[in-house]
Amino acid sequence: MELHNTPVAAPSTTTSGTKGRFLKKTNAALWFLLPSLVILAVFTFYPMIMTAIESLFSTNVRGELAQFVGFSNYAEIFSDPLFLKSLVNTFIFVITAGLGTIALALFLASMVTEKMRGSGFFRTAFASTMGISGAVASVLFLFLFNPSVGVLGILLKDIGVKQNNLVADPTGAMIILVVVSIWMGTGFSFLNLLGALQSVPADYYAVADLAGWSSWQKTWKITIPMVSPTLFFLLVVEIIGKFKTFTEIDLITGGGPDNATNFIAYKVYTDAFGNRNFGIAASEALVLTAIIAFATWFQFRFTERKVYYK
Amino acid sequence: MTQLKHANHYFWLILVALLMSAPILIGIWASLLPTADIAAGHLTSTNISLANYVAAIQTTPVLRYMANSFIIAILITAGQLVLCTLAAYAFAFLDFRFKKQIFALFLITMMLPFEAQIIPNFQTVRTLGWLDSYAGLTIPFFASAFGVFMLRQAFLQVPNELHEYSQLIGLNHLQFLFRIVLPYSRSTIVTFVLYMFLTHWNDYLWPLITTFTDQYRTTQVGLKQLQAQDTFSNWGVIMATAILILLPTLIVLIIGQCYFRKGLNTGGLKA
Repeated sequence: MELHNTPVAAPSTTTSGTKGRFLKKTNAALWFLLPSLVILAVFTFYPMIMTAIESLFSTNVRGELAQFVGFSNYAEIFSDPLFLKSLVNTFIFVITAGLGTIALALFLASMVTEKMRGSGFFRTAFASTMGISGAVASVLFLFLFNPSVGVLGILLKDIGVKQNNLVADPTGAMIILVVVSIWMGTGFSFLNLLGALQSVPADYYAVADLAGWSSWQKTWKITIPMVSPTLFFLLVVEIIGKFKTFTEIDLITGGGPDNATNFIAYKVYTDAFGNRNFGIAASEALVLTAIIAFATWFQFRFTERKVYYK
Repeated sequence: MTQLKHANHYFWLILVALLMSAPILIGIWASLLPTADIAAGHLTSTNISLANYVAAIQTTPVLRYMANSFIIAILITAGQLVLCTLAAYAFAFLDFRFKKQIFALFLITMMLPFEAQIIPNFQTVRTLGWLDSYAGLTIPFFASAFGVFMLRQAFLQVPNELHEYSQLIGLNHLQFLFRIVLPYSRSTIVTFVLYMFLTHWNDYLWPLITTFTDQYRTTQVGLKQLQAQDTFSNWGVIMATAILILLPTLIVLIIGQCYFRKGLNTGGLKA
């Protein structure tokens, strides 16, 4: 195993190394990890700790700690019907938009990978939404859904579904945000799944064809198991990303109407910068953090064992 | 029969492609129309011109904002590529003490919403004297647990045989990284670079609260201001600004697509 004098880690040796070798390995790893760890410590962990401290205090309008209040900020938000409503609506949004994004991306990716003419064009078309900012997407969809100048807004009016601005309706505002979120998220998931699908050996499909499998069977028995590491990765990333949705809410609905789209991430911002209630905002931010942490843990716990790794 | 199946397949593909591209295509079309025609609902008007773009460039500092966004996105992407590659390499190929715990620590940061960190981060950057500067806009984003996770997943796909072989011929860490791991993972690297560039081209909340002058302000902030001021009066200029901001994004994506096809078609590693 020690034919060379560089400290490359031997794959999956047991913990039988001598102490010297052990330290050598640890030192190498330290240099690889240190730059990231320093940045994370200063700009992620330190501010999280500060936010946690702030959630236990009442604060003045400038955000300075005024008085230790224990958990009363938490008691306050959980007896606030507005916050509870915000929780429910956030979940509805995340589940609808998250699953919608991945389902659409998988559908598109499986349609494009087959050997076909013009696949480059379709790749570009489907991936084109990947780079679009929340701000640009918001402006585009505000225009589309505008009841007097937008194509969709006018269409909805003509077929008698909606006379007013869809954004002015609680369900309508939610629908627009889900549509924008799926539209924006599909490109990235699509590209990743496309890459994953390329690595599925063509032989598998050839054998399945010989066995006379339907394309439905091929999808469920070959494609999905083979791309499951990517699906798992996307599921984690999408769910967390949707929980953090902010820009589109700020630009399209402003959290309204009647707080129907006042999702937690947005409520944190308005409570901090609008109402200048930093202690409350900090405790809401930690609730959001706890939910996202739980979602991620849940996915790791129950998805990873079904995932196929090489 | 097969031809019919093919035609059916293409019909759906084209329909979905049109639907997916429609918001952008309609936006581009509207940006070429006089605001008066848009306001009257005449989207079929043929009075197209670049007047809205001229107005956007003359009446707003959109070009300066775009330059700032470009610099910021490049700096962050470069920083992240270096830092994430190093960290992902450690997690994929090295054995070390507390590996699981440190990896969990990285993953935990993926679960921590940026909104929960913004007030202390603002204070940190202010203390460092980085408000309204490229340093303040970029350095806080140099580490990315998401990037590390993404690269680690790709690095884990490098076959064990290649790893063992490189040890046998005595490659050190950096040689193994540059000669085998990175080439093997190139489609993920391209996705990574594209995604990070575009993500930070689109940054908006952080630039909004940490920049105060046009010298460092970014595109998304400008778009928000314009949208807030002019929603009901000047759709033409708003759409032109939005498309200007979108244009570099689309160019990067198309370049990426070309690379992708080449990379994927070349197939396996020639080591």
